[in-house]
Amino acid sequence: MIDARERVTGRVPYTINVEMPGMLHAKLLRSEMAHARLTRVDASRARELPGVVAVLTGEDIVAMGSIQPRFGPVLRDQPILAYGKVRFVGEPVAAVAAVNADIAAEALDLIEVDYEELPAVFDADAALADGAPVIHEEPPHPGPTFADIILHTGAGSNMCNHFKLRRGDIDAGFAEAVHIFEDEFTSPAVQHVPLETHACVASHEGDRIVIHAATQIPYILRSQLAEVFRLPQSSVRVIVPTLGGGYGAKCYPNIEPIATALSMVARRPVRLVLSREEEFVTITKHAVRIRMKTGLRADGTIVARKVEAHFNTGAYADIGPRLIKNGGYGTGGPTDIPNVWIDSYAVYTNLPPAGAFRGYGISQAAWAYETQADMMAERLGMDPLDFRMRNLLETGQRFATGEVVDDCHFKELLTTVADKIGWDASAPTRVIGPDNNGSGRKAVAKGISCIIKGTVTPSTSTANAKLNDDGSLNVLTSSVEMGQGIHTAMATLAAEEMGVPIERVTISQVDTDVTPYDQQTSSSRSAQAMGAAVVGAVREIKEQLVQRGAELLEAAESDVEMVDGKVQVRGAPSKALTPSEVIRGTRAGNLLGRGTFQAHGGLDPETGQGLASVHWHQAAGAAVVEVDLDTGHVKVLRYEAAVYSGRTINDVQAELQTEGNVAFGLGQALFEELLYDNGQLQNGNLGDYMVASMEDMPTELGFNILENPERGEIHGIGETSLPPVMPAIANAIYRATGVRVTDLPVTPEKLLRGMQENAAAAKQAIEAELVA
Amino acid sequence: MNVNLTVNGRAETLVAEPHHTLVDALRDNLRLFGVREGCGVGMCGACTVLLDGKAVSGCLVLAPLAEGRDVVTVEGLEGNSGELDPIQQSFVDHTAFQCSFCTPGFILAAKDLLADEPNADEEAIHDHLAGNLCRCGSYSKITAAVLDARDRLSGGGQ
Amino acid sequence: MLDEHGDEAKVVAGSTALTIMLRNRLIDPSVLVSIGRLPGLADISADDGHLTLGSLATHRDVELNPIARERIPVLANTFHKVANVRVRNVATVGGVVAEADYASDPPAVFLALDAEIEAEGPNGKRSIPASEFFLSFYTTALAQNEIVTAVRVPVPQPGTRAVYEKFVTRSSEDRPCVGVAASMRLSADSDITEDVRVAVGAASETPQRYPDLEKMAVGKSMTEDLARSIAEGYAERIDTLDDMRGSAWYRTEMVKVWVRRALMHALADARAQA
Repeated sequence: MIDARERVTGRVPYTINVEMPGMLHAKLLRSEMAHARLTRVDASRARELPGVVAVLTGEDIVAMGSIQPRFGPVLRDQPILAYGKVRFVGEPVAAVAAVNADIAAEALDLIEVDYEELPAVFDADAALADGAPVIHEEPPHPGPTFADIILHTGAGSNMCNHFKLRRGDIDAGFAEAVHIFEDEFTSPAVQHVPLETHACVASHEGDRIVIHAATQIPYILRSQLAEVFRLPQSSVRVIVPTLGGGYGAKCYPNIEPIATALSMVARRPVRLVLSREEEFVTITKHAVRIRMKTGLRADGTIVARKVEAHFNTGAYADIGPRLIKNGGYGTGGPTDIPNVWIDSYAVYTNLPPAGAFRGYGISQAAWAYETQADMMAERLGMDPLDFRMRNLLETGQRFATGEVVDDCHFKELLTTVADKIGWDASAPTRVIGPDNNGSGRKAVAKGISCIIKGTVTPSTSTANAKLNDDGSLNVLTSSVEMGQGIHTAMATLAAEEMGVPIERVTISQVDTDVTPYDQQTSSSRSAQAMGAAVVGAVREIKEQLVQRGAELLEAAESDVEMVDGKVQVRGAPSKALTPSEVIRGTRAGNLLGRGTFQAHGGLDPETGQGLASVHWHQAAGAAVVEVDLDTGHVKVLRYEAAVYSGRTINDVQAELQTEGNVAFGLGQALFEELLYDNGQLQNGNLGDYMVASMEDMPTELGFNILENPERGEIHGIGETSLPPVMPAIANAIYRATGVRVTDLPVTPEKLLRGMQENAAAAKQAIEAELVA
Repeated sequence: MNVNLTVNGRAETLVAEPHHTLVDALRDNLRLFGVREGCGVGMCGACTVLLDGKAVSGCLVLAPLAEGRDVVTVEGLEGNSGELDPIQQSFVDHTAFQCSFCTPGFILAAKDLLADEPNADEEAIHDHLAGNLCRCGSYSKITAAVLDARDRLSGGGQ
Repeated sequence: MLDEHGDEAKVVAGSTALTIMLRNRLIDPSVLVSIGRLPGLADISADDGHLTLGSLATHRDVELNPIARERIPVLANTFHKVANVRVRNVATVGGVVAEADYASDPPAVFLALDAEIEAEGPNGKRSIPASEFFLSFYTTALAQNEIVTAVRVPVPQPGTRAVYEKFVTRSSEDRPCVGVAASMRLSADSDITEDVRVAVGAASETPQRYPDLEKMAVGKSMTEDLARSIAEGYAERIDTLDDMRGSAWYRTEMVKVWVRRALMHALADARAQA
């Protein structure tokens, strides 16, 4: 990475390091109730504590009148601080800014809150049941950020949004099917656990907001703050230092409006950094229940699929209304199914908001269709690999949205990993042990999976480039560096296009006063989208070099070209000028280039047909697991990850991102899960919530990053190899144990229970046979 | 209260409340930002420092308990003219990080390990470093970097 | 000093657990009494058939101490399995027994080895057997004004082999779902079991040991079936608890598995050295 030295010396500029003159420290008082009317929030004693500079409650913000009390990227449903009601345990109720963190914490103890408890609802099905308590009484208020979004909201109910997809004739499809299978799959809420929690330092003085924030969405944050504080966007300056991990957690605003409001009152900069425990109740991955009905022809090809998916979006919409689109169409999977009917819902509950999470709905969808693929193959007596090979998309076939899918590599990806682990359907399980020192019998088996993922479409990125008169290049981009190496990737592309060594390229820090618009750093989009914008900006500079160089060389523009970073007359290498000579020779000062990437598309609101993704991300996985048959404990012995990159910019970083996906997927396959009791999180710290450690990782890990040099188009890989991990591991576990777990995570306890039930059933069957 | 101690080879005085942790005291007093709180419960290792040469979680050590002791943070590993410690150099060479919030902790944990076990093998590295979490999942590159650092420190191989 | 301040005072040694409680505002003591500098309390020494672990000895001290490794290797192995190296470099022997967290590893081993916890207060010194020390969740037989000064562990008779099986259900970094300490001594000239101990930790409020079940094996040759019977006896009696590492049902199943495995593992070790 270009800033490797900073990274090993502790000098990376994270938001938590930012200090400003007169800076105050903020702490938040959070709701203890899942759903309650706030009958009294009395902060008077807190205000009197020496060292406290500003105290805010939700009612204070409403009373100010000058700012919008609610925000949200799609629906303006989330209060800066709760007023009227609280809707989840951990919702911010009051905020204090003080001269130091100790005093701020002490002040929280002096704030008195009276609640009148309301019936609460935590499960999506229960939230939609008749008579369920309604979490948002007022109709939703859409904002302008995502103009393309499809909204079918259910005012007066807990239905936050409904996405519909209709392709072909579903009834005819099932009529044609020889086999029909209906199964239900669930995945739980989990947390991103970026080691750097949400953090910001906000300053609202005069008519200007300057905020340093650990965010993946500088421009969306800017527009949200402009809207909330009723300022022109030009008056809001969002600076984004390097992030200590994002994974989707930092995709939409949550704490930034609070810090800004405190700063507005205190008229001093305010620092707000969440504790780990607070991070756990700030944003999560959607818990989902998917009911999937699939119809097969006699040869095992899929002819029809009907899906009902309920995404538990928590108390506030965040990006849920949009995520259910991806999670909805995603259940179509990498197969051209002629008849598809999908209903996907975002449902409000009294849990912390769920939002973007690495995989963005596709992990949940793939968990359903890739688990069901193995279940259906077994019921048909087919090899799971063979079953998939009959169904995987090929170039020119159509996805569930009706669009033709180009540049397909699913079959190649899947066979690559299957070959690597020595896939052999006829000898699925190997039992070893017990050995003589007390360890029990273990079963070893293999599993596979293959997925398709879109990237946010439509989307826009812009970049500027500045060629200095010494020939060095500044790239101005709002892509956020969060460990994925986007700045290194952009420097690589810019250097290559300009024909200069990478050391001559500097990538800006994100600063919306300076760096131009980018939609967001998410969706595995930046290498492609921002990459195209950066290359475009450099190309514009090169055009100017040719123009100006032609003048200096006294040649026609059409006779001049760029060769090896120099401007030269075609066929006359002696008549050449360096960029530096061109800029100095024409007294241009510097040369500025602008680049824009725009992807177009969209889906019909009633049928979900259209163009869902500018191109398609593709991945496969194969796992070898060892299961302790006495305890259900699982060790992943080997994992082979395959992903289509189109063109890899940096091999090492591609491997790193893929390994990150395996770490995320392994944790979610085997143990990650947020546990709530009546809406109260039970494991909101890293002693109680586990993430994958070095020793949990597969003993052997393979990266298979597939390129297609002929096309040279970059495909994002930041998330792509994650969704296959959970089903590949669970499919292997099933082959080892005969236990099919359809609700993640696949814990030792679920496996042991399943194995005991299977043994009891087998015994019963034998006894029944003996009796007969 | 004042806490007198040695930090990265220099005598320092930290001003801290009795309940302040060493992470907070080092960041607030000396702006040693290589020390970072990740979890506050000793599970992630982002706040690792060497206390009298041993890796500890700065979030679990009350600042006053460091009185009179020797503390090394990642900032103390570079040589006088800025040359990187061999472990740091190995992490650079292997790109053994992504967001790198955890990186100083891993480097100091590796330092602690290789001081005790200069010939640590892969198993020993996993055993010693598993308590440091890298949420980005750079584990295989980290293992490779520590193995490489071991070889560099022991003079180019076994 | 502890008498003077009563509940307002907390003793701090390694400070790992206490710091977490302070941070989460679970406690708000007005006085923190640091015993980190009391002389002699960090020593690990052997005498008259005992290994004495000073209460300020860290987990890592026990893990690496040559005397401990030689005399009672299972102690060193168990302390090595606790948490991570950073915690072990700070967390103390006195702290882990005084905190009495059910999901700890060392208490089961102390119980299996008949260790005694040495305590000292204004009324003098006393020695509390591990079997009487752990009373319930986070509760010990220590008086409010007493501190732990040492844990004294009898060195097992020659020929004894002991193991500690730590079973985790989630990450490698998790605390135990169940931990089983087992020791075994075979007669010198035959395969007959002379002494067996089994203690189960992390499965219930306090570590559990049943001498009458242990005696089932004495005077006999240990077999898989016998180990299974003992394990089932433990599983029947232990009132297992539910937490995120496993339900009570699962823990009972794991007591069956791990008591048996620990016994068979100890047996294999004992036979190997015979």
